[in-house]
Amino acid sequence: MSELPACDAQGHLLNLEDWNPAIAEAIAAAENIELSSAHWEVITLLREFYQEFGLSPAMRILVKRCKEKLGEDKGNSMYLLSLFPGSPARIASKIAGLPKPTNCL
Amino acid sequence: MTADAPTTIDYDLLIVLQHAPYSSAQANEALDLALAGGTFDQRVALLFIEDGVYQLMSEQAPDAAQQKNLEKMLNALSFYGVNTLAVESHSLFERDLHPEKHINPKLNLELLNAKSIQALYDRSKTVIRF
Amino acid sequence: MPTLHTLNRSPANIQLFEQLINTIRPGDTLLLLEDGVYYCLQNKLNRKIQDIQVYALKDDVHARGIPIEQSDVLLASYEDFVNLTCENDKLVNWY
Repeated sequence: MSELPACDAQGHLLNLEDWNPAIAEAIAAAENIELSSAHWEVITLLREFYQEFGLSPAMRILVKRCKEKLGEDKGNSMYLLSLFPGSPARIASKIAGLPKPTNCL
Repeated sequence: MTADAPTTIDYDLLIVLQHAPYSSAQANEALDLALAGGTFDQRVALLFIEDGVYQLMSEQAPDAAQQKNLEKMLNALSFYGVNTLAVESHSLFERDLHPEKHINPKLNLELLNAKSIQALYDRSKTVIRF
Repeated sequence: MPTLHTLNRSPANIQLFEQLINTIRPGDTLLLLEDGVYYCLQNKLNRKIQDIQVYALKDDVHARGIPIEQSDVLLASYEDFVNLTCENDKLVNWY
């Protein structure tokens, strides 16, 4: 496995262009997460959100977006916590190669 | 003070944006606040006035200037539950800005005159100007 | 003594603009920077400043979404900015 590109103190990529799926796997591994298709669904959704709005959504907005795009059964915090334990919005955005969520109060 | 009927409070927060984007951080900070308010289910209204109306222009491409795209942030507002975007119409007129030609078509804007701006202030519990 | 004038405030700063047009002379060059590029939206500039070549910094124009198709303003890169500085005897900033 190759070295990870430059990251900030919390492990978010400094240059968003450095991201690719292999990097995502590596960042996830550092969080003890093995990426399944369910993880990729959320990662893709986050990257599309960032593409559209230039923002990494905080938890509430991520839940809302998942509900809208992936359906009611995936649009809740329990589901996201099961995929990205601890702090789903922060960890998923990190794996997706995006900045730390804004308004992450 | 006359004994007017009490005004209904429709907004927890009115954010007034009066500066052009990019040359200072004020527009960015105002929008951050709007998104934070929306995230926490506050009723937020935005009022664009004076040079603040320049924030509404379409096809902003600040990448080369290495700045965050504020047009994209504006487009996010409705997803964050912020749906009231008011514009002082005279400010547009003074700057030769034409809604159909220069203004971001994704935004649902309400054009206000001075009188209805006063009413908007009255209907808001807290006002923060940027 | 040709002079390069740079203006980086929006047209809302009327007094600044008045000072500029009272100072600028034919043969001078005007370069619009930052919020100064909003003058590209208005015809006011061309009416008030004759025999003066006007440039606007390209990155600032694009950042703000300003259409430049029917304007007499030329777009300048940072390299052009440097060249303009060298070609003129002095530089005056209006901000």
